[in-house]
Amino acid sequence: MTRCSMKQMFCFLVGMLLSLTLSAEKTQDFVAQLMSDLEEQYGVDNNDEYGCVTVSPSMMEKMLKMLQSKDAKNDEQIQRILPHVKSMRIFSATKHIDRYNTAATKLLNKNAKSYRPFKASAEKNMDPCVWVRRSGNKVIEMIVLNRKENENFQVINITGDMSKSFVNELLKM
Amino acid sequence: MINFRDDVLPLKNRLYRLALRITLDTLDAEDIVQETLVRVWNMREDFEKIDSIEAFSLTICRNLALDHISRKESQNEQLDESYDATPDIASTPLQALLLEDKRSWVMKLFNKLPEKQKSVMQLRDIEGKSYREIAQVLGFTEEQVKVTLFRARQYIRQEFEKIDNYGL
Amino acid sequence: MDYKYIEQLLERYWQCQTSVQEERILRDFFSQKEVPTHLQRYCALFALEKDEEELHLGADFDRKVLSRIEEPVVKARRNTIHFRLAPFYRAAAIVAVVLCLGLAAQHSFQNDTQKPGVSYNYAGYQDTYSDPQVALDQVSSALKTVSHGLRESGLHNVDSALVDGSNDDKM
Repeated sequence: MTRCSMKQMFCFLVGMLLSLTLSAEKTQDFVAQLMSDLEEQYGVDNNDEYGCVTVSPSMMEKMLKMLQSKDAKNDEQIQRILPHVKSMRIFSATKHIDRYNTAATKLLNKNAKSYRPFKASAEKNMDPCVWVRRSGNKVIEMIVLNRKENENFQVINITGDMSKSFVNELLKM
Repeated sequence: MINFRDDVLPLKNRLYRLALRITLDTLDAEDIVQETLVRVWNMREDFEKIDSIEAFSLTICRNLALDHISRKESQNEQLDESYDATPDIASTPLQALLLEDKRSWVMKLFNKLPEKQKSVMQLRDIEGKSYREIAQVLGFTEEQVKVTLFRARQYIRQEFEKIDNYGL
Repeated sequence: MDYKYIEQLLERYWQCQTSVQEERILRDFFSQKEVPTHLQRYCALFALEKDEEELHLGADFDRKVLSRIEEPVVKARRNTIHFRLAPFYRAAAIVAVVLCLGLAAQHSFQNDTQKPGVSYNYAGYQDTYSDPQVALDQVSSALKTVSHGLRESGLHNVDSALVDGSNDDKM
């Protein structure tokens, strides 16, 4: 009986270790991490200062199906763009904009291993507002910070399979 | 494999809100939810035969709550179809609005509904259940659910129109 | 802004002709900060769902009910086996911890591009809107902002950007 249990224990440990090495990480997107940090730091009472709109992969599919069934000419461009977008989160803050802008920038810099500015030119000396996360050669996540003076601060967070053609289509919008 | 923590315990808040809506007492509602969960768990051998564990649990919860209040003969609750005549501190909607937060006025209105209307509205407007699901929980036909909900909403609408008539 | 759609929905709501999704649209509308004056009195009614979210049973309740559910374990027998195998479990646990630490260290020194494959926890995503049309409006507007952001950073065409030096479609 002892031998049996030891064997089981050993198999379990080996299995666990194997799964650790082989499994892909399940990670959170940037805005989810930001919201979690903000809740930890400021509590959940500040929900009237900021909000987050989430569009999941299944909703993206529904949207695409809806567009395809409508067959509208105006929507051709978005029909080319949407298949590259797996999910989207839109974080917006209307009060204490500095606080949230700083929190977002801090989080990006803290995760420098994951997020890099998507610089068009090294010569431009501006605060980067577009950041990307790559996996292998692909861009899998894009973050855009958008601030309108002291009115409003937005973080648009897209995950998906973002290729050159995707960005070129976006630039035409 | 069915697990209490993952399959049954998560229903607790929905059950609590329904029990509270009927008994209007937090401690009673908590006891009822506990009793419901234990009973549902004890019937887990038959889960395969049940269409919806949630609807089944809500039914048990409601029945326990109804038993409880009929035992208690609570003044807050009336089992027949009449509206709760318990006078409020404020005797007119106008005064109620002036004295209290609007949101608690609506909640008080909700609590005044006869039990069936309250339960239907709780399950529809707060829990977002379909007519079919509500019918399953209450043992009604879908048509009966719709009629009951209609009465509840019409009452509330009338109360809102009374505010209008006071010129607010 | 034309509130006719909302007014029509509201009328259908009173007649119990609205679907669950349409009722959600009403709830979303009335939870906004700017609701027209003639409709403001209904905000309280459609806020009921949100107010009810505060009603919940916490960890105390969980403990109470779990103590009623959990059957007493026949501990005596298990203890004997556990006791006998303790040294083996201990040894195996130490090995496991050392290996895990090693793996963790390896992971943290790699950057994302070397890691096997990053995948997102999409199962945890809760859609804000249930109507694809409403979601699409939000997404289009956001994509236009992204486009603007890209142009602001000086990007007019991807091929002119400093990329990883590949000729294919990948960036």
